[in-house]
Amino acid sequence: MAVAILRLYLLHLFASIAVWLATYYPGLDLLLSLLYLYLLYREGRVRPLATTTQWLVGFIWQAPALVFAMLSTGLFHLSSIAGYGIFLLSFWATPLLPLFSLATHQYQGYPLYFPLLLLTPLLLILFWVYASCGFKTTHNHSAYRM
Amino acid sequence: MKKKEPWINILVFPVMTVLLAGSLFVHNRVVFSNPDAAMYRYLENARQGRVGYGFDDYYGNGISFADLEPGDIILGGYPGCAYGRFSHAGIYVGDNQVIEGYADLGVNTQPVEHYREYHEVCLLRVKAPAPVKARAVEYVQSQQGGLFYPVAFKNGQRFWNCTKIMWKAYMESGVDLSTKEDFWVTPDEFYNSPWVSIIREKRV
Repeated sequence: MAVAILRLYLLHLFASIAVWLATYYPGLDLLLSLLYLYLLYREGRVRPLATTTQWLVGFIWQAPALVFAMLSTGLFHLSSIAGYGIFLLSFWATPLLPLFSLATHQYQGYPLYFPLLLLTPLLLILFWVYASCGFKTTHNHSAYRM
Repeated sequence: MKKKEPWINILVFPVMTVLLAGSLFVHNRVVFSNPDAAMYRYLENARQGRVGYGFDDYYGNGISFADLEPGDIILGGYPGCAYGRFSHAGIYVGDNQVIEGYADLGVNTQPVEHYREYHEVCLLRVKAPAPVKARAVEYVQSQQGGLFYPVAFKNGQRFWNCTKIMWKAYMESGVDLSTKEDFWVTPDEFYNSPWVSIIREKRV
C-alpha cells in the first residue's frame, strides 16, 4: 500500500510542475492534463488491491487537498492560514486546471470551475478507485474463463 | 514471481518537467538574467519572511472614488506583501464596479468600495484615448468567469491573475503596461508604468 501511495504522490507532484510549465505554451497544458488522467488510470491498474485498500490509498493520497478544500470553504477560521487554502488547492489541482479552465460559465457570481476545484480531491479519489476496480474486474473475469 | 512495477507511469512527468524547464530557460534567458524579475523579488522577500499577499485586514483607508473613469486602474496593498508594495489590482468599469481576479471567484465584478479595506490604495489613469480604454473594459468584461491561477504566465488566455487580466486587456488595444521582460506582471509595474498617471493615493 505504501508503494502505491508513494507512486501516486510522485505522479501527482511532477504532473503539477509539468502542467504548470506547460501553461507557458497554451494548448500543451491541455494535452498534459489528459496525459495525467491516462497515466493515473494506468496506475490504478498496476496491482490488484482490496476495495477498502483502494479507498484508503485514495484518501491518503488526497489528504492534503481535502484539508485545503475544507479551508477554502471558509468553514474553518484559522486566521491567515485559511485565506491561503484556496491558493494551495489551486496549486494541488494544477494537473486538472487546464480542463477546468474550459468551464468559464458563472452561477450566482461564482465561476463553474470553483465547485470543480473544491471537488478535485473527491473526483481524483473516485477516478483512482474506478481505475483500480477496472483492474480487479478484468482479473476476475479472466479467472472465470479458466 | 513478483510482478515488476511499470515505472513508465512515474517517469513521464519528471522527464516532461526537465524538458519544459529547459525550454523555458532557453527561451527566456533575458528574464533569468534580470535581477528585477518578479521571481527574484518574490524569493528575496520570502527570504525576509514576506509570503503571499501580506497581512489582510480592514484598514479603512477612506479614499474617494470620485472622478473615476472606465479603464482606470486601482491598486491595493497590504503590509508584508511578497511581490511588492501593492498586492492586488482591478480595473474600473463604471457604475462603482471594478473587474478583478480572485482565486475563488475567478475574473469577476465587485463594488469598488472594497478597496477601502487596503492598507494603501492608489488610483491610476491610463494615458490612452477613450476608445482604447473602452476596448480594454470590453475585453475584461468578456473574460468574466475566467480561471484564476496565482502563477499564471503572461502567455495564454485561459489562466488569469489580478494583474494579467488588465495587462492583457490593454495589450490587446496596443498599450503595454508592463514593458519588462518577465513571466508575470506585478501590481507595482502598473504604478511605475510610463503609460499611467496617478489620480490619487492614500496610505493608512
